[in-house]
Amino acid sequence: MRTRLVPWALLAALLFSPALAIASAKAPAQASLIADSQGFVPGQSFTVALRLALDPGWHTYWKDPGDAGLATTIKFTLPPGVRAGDPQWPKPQVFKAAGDLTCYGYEGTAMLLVPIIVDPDYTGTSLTLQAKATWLVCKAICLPGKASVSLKLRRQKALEPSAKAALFAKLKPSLGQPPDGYHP
Amino acid sequence: MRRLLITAAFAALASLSFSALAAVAVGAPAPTFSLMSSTGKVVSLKDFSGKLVVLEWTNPGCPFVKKHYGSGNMQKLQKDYTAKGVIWLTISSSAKGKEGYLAAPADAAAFIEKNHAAMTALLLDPQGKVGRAYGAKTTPAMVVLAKDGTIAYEGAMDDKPSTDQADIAGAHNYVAAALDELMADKPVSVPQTRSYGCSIKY
Repeated sequence: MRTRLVPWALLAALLFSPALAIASAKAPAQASLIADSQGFVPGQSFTVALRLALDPGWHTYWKDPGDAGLATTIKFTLPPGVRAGDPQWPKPQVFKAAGDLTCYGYEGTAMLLVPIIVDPDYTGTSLTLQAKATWLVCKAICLPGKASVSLKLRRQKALEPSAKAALFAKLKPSLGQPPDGYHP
Repeated sequence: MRRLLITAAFAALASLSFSALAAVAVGAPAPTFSLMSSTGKVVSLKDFSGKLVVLEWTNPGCPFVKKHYGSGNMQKLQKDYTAKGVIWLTISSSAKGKEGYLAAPADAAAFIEKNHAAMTALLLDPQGKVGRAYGAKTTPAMVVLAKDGTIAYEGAMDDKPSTDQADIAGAHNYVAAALDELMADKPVSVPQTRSYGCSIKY
């Protein structure tokens, strides 16, 4: 038994080494799930977004990352009678790098919008949206990231815009637009 | 003096446009090169004429590289195919001071030892000349050269662009497929794909 403890102690030492602790202290991307409405109404759709708050200089990627990088993904787990539509990507920025590399993505705040459609016969008084998101965030180096995000909404008589609705409205004109000079 | 300056300016322009346009075409002769290896030897592509050669761009800090080395996938390919006579050249084109830069020989040796890597040689291209000549964009980026020295495959490692080791099992490996076809004297069915990974830190 005693001899078996040694490898575990080594493993623990490796796992909790200062270098790893610093690396994981604060990730350069913080994920949250936000909605453009305060609640939901059966038979109506609203829009949610995976919001990645990025540290200065870091960027995440569009659906086509370009010469390098990786697209952000979101996968929902939803109750019966609720479904997610196709993701809507705001127009990305163009990032150029040495070696004639061109990538497409987002700096500052990256939003990936997804319509949520609630069936007319959905009977619940509340609705919990759960999703798993993955992304790659790069500056001079790249780090993979993932998070489980969720959002609970209450049933309403009519859809009321949330405090975050302005963020969605601002992005609306650019949804689905390719980056400048894009050649797939 | 003036003519000299103008000539120099043209030369600079020419080299710039060359680096911007350089990318290998499947079926074209592979650009030749000589690079210092991690063991301090000069390795030239012409040393391996008449053999199948794999070029693998690497950066040990890149999560896509970690996916293929952390899982043992890259080392297994290196072992399996070098055992069959394939030459496997791993190239670091990271510039000095950038992620993935390997100062020969200590860092490079540590990378090989830590991963139990089994490439024929690990080559250092800190000026990025060879990377640019091949139009390499990502780590990993993979190139397979036929025995006649032409480009037989260029692109991604496999068809699952991700940093997740769990994706390797279900992925179709383009490099292994190209090597198997070449060894069977068959045409390479997928000669070009889009590579995925971190940008090479030129």
